[in-house]
Amino acid sequence: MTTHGGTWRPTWVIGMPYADARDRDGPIGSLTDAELVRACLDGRPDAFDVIVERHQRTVYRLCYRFVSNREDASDLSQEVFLRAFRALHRFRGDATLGTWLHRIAVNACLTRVSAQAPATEPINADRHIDEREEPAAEQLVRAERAERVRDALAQLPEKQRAALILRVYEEMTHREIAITLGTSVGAAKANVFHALRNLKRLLGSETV
Amino acid sequence: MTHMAHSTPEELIDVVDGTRRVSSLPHLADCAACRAQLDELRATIGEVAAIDVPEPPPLYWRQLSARVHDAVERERFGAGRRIWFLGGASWDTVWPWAAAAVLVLAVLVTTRRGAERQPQRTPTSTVNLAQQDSAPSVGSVTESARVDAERAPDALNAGDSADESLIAFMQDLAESMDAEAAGVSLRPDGSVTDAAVAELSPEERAEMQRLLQDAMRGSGV
Repeated sequence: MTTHGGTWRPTWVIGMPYADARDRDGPIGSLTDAELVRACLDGRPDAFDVIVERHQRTVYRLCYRFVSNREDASDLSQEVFLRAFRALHRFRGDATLGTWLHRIAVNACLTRVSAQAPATEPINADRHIDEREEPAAEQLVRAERAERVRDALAQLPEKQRAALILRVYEEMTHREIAITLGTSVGAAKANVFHALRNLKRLLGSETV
Repeated sequence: MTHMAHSTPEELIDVVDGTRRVSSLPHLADCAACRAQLDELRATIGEVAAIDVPEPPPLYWRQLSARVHDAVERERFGAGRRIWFLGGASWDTVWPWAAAAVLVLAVLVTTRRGAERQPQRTPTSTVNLAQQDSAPSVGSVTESARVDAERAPDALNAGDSADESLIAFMQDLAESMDAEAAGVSLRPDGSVTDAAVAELSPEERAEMQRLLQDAMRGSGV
């Protein structure tokens, strides 16, 4: 327990009582992730709703990187949270909840990617565009370009795609990628290398 | 010395990542092909990194939250509820095994109970109903029990364990009803006592009387 500016503030650990009466009765949205996990395990179903609201964007974005379309990303996000809910009692608090969810999401994405090739969304799919920043024509060109890159990414072999996504978007080290994919560090680097070369080939030399 | 071998993919990726200095690969200064490849890798990774996830419509997040909420609620209360102490297995998977386990346990308990009752049944077996009217003595009850006990094994071996349990229960019930109806107890009746006392010598009677008086004084009667 610590004090901040004279106010008693507990620093909870998973496995210890998560809150005093103030927190039980107060807004659940003010709880930390670890407290929310404890509250959820103590039978407060609304605590998991808060966890979902906090982390759904990160999880969705990771899922979208792998499947390249909103519908599959939504399905995958739901699956990630369901897996997390089922395994919540195994969350020890050694890592942050965000890191733990990230691992679950990566595993779920790898499983999905190995099961089916992603179907990228068409360019004219319903999409939120912020028109305040650049003209519509430029946005369209950029969106088309992004779509071509996503399409090329989707065509990469499974491990190359996974390695590149984890390296570029998730900013994992090659060692972390190797652990996640169950390969050696050298193989992880080779996967990234060949992913980039294949992407270059797929996109055409004039576009990069 | 000029390095003739081209840079390996691992070396190039390390340079792209910034974990290895270009100066540590002298071959790059001499090899235009390797330098071109390094430039391509940098350009491609920049292109990939620039691609963002398209932002869904503003209401999407609320919909996704609601969708996950519904799925979790189904998980929590539905048929697919998980059991954490069984490694997250669902009730759908577990309940047939649980039912089988309960059945096996019931059979084991019934069999064991039947086996425990069997030896008790032999000496205290049924009182012959024909002796109810004649208020049987200890000797006649014992004799009847011995005869019934000799017949018992054949009858008991015929049934399965469940039947044995049921038979044992009914038998116990019948014993208590028979005994009450017949007024039978394991204590001897008055005629047997009188006969025993009549056979005592005067000294034995005096000694028995003294013992009885001692006992009555000891019990406060």
